[in-house]
Amino acid sequence: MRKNRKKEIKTKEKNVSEKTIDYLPKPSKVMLLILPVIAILMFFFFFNNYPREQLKQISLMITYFYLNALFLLMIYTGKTYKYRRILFVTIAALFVFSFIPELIETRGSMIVTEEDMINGQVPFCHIVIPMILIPAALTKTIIFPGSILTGFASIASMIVIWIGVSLSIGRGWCSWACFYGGFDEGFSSIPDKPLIRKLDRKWTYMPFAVLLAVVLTSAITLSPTYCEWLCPFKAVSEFAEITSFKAVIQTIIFFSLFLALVIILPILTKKRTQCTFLCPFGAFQQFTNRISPFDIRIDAEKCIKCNKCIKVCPTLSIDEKSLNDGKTLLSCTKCGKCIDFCPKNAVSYHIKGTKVGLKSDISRLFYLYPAFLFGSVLGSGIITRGLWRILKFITTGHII
Amino acid sequence: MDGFFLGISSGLFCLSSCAPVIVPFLLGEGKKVSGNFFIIGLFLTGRLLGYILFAISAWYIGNTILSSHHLKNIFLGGSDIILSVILLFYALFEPKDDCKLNTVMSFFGGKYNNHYLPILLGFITGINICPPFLLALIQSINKGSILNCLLFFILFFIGTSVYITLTAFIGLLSSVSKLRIIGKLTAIVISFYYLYSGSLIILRETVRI
Repeated sequence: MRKNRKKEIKTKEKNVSEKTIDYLPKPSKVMLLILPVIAILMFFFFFNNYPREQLKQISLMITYFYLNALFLLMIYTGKTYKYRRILFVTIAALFVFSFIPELIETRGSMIVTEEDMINGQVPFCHIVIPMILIPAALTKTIIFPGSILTGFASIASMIVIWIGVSLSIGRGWCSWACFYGGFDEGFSSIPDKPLIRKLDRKWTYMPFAVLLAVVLTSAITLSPTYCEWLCPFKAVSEFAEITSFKAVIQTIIFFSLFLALVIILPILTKKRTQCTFLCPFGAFQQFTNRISPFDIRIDAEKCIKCNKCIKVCPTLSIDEKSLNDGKTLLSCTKCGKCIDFCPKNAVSYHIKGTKVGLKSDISRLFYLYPAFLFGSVLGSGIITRGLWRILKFITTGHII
Repeated sequence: MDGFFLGISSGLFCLSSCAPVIVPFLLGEGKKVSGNFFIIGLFLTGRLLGYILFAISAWYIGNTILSSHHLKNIFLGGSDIILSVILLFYALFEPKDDCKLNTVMSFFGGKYNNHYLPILLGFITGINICPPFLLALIQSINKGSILNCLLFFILFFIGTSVYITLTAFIGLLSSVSKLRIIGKLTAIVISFYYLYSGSLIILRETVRI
């Protein structure tokens, strides 16, 4: 009976999620549309430090074809969310296989020592960006123990990438570029139905409160307080040596938040709870949605007010008022789920300044190119290195 | 004028120290710029009272607080915990007409409203011993008389207050209704920061004993 129920739910979802596509694109048209992505990725993959080791070459090839296959499917089927989610979760999962072994190889453990911090050897994480601004303006120093120009994930390179992504896709960063977002997205995809349906929307303001609190306290303490106290992703990346009572408390907080907001609550609610209720960078990125040329709009003529988009949105970025206004809230991460689930094709990617619903396929393409390319270029290194570690383990029995 | 210039030079530090306390309150109240200037005025009044009280105490008690690292830390930790409690109270408690707090306030001929909170917040931040405050205290004690000491402190206070008054312009965002909720949530988050900070300091000093 349970199997029948599951089948029933899947059939319902399939019926809802299948878009009424006016026409299936011709294979020749599809190939033309994916050519720019094939060419650009080829340039990044094969003309930029091509590896000599055979296993790394194989990993690179697999990654290249995998990314192109995903984009091909996006274009051919007209579905964004399904294949974006696959890419996103892949990046998050392989992040664990690539980052943690690298830390162990270079430092001997996941622990960041004081010496690493003094030598500026901590890779820069984008979540720190809001916290460094005021201290940088007041004291002309970057309050992060990383390298400004050299090394892996240098501060300057991450800021340049962040500016580029923000100007083009705004908070789309959170669904296309963030290497942590795939964790709670992955866990939220596990159940068929949410166990907790009603979520108080007031909690969606919490990321702003956390943002303001960490920005203000970072300015007093001249250290990134979110990284020191609240980042759940310390559980899968690096954390300070546990040599004091303070460090014990910090570690307990990191792991508790990871368990609660990244694993348990996404499974119970089918929402990206870390991104929706905590992440200060997500709150910060909402402002970039104002400058991005893309948004998601709802065509009032096609919309039948079934509220499916409100129910499926993983970040609670549509409510009844915004639906009536024909748009998503500023917190929208442009993941494409509402677009794929709308039974009437009323929801679409939209270029600001153009008419809603007109040539939405073209608007979608204009959005997909920068979004997919940014996500692929940022995530390709993670995927390649993660695959290499897995292949190394399979062939040699060692991951390090 | 030394006090004033010392205040101006350390004003940004004072702003960064006071901002986590006053900014959530201003956002939570949701008033316009003029209303915020009134709240800042109350905050600064509380702060001035704290400064004057500390200056007078330092003059008469002497260098006791300055020389005793232990006493200074207990004081600092205690004030952080009190700040935490006040911020939590502000964020979570909505005074109603029939609440017991009003019964207490009626003995003083008044009624509870949120105007008392910025004065209290200002007072606690005013007696918080931060480096510019210590510097001002040392310089003021060498002024020779209690009046000169007070004058030095008041000018120092005016200098530091220049930057703090700028926070009143948060009122330009008062039309955004969600900021009230954000302000209160921020007060909760920051209260945990002060609670931790104060508890750790007191715990360290207690263990040392």
